[in-house]
Amino acid sequence: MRIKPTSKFDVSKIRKLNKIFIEKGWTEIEEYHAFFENFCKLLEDLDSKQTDLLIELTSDFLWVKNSDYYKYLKNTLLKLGEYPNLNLEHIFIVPLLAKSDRLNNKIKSSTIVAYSCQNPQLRHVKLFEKTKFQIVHDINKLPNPSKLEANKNPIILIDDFIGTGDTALEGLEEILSLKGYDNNTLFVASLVCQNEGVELIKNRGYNVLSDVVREKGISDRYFGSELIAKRKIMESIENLLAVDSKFDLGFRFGYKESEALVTMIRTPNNTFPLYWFEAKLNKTNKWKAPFPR
Amino acid sequence: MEGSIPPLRILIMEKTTRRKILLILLNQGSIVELIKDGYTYGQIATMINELVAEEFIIEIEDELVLTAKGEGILIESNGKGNFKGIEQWIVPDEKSRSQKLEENELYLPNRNELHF
Repeated sequence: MRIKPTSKFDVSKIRKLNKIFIEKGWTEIEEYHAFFENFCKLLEDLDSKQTDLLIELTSDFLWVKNSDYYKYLKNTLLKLGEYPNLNLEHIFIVPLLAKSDRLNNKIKSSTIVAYSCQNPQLRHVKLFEKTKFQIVHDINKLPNPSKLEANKNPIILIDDFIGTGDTALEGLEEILSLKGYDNNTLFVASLVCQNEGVELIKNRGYNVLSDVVREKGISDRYFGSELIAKRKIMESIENLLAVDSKFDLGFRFGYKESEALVTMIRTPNNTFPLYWFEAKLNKTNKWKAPFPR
Repeated sequence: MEGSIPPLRILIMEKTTRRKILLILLNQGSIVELIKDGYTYGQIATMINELVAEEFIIEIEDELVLTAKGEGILIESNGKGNFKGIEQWIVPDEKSRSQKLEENELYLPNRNELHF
């Protein structure tokens, strides 16, 4: 049987969506044509309220592509300039990893960020003209707190994204259990952070360096009856994904309801799952997630 | 073909297509007729952007409306006698136009290529 084409798009809506892609620079990516096509097809499966919400959220979506990492890293590290007592001639960089990942020598995006600190461009930034960035994988080899206090060199636990802050806190506690650095020398840094993650680390008494701090996509954007309505619409979209038995209900609104709207080299599970979970809708159709994990 | 994306055409917008987009906008219709013509969403968006750039369409608070120039094109093509009666609102289905056949030649259309 032939399939009769249908479309819910009118001229204004497709222009609106395309404008968002243009403003975000997404039309410049290598796979733009298929990416835009799949995004439109995804919207065709939604009703008008769901479509409007997805377009609104997408206009707020942050996609940090591999090629953007240096700029975000530089801006993150420049926050060290706010601490004039530090000696920046030697900075220790530790990739932020959960203890289990560290023990298994797992390569995570934090390792890539740590290595990016050796980008020669950084040496042309005035603040880091004389800096030696030393990447430390074995945290046992970090200098003793007394030596560090005397030299005032910072240790930076670095990652590309902090969501709830759970992993960052775990990594921080692991180091503190070995060596009790104070908050004048030990910092957590991430190119992009969710605000709740920043607060968690701050409440533990440590400072977070970050280029971008993000709020929750729905709960911090809408208020009152509008917030309730938007949450219900998102729940209705996630109900479509829940048709797939592999959809983990624990990821509703993102891991621990982080409500993130972010994709880095990988998409964090803190992001709303409709952006990354490729749900099997039926025997032939799959949810064309724009930023699959 | 289901699932694959046709290659990007060089978008020299045909007058028929331009007229079709303007009519869809005027009647607040869906872009489905353009999809039936084989255009992708990306190509449709590009053509709409071109019509905005060429001032056939203007954007007012996220909504698109025809400009006087856009309306003029529709009136002009009707006024020239190109389109009469119902043709003023229904755009010729160019993709279904076929070459003239010999009197006794058999023609079996591909059912997947028909959209009516």
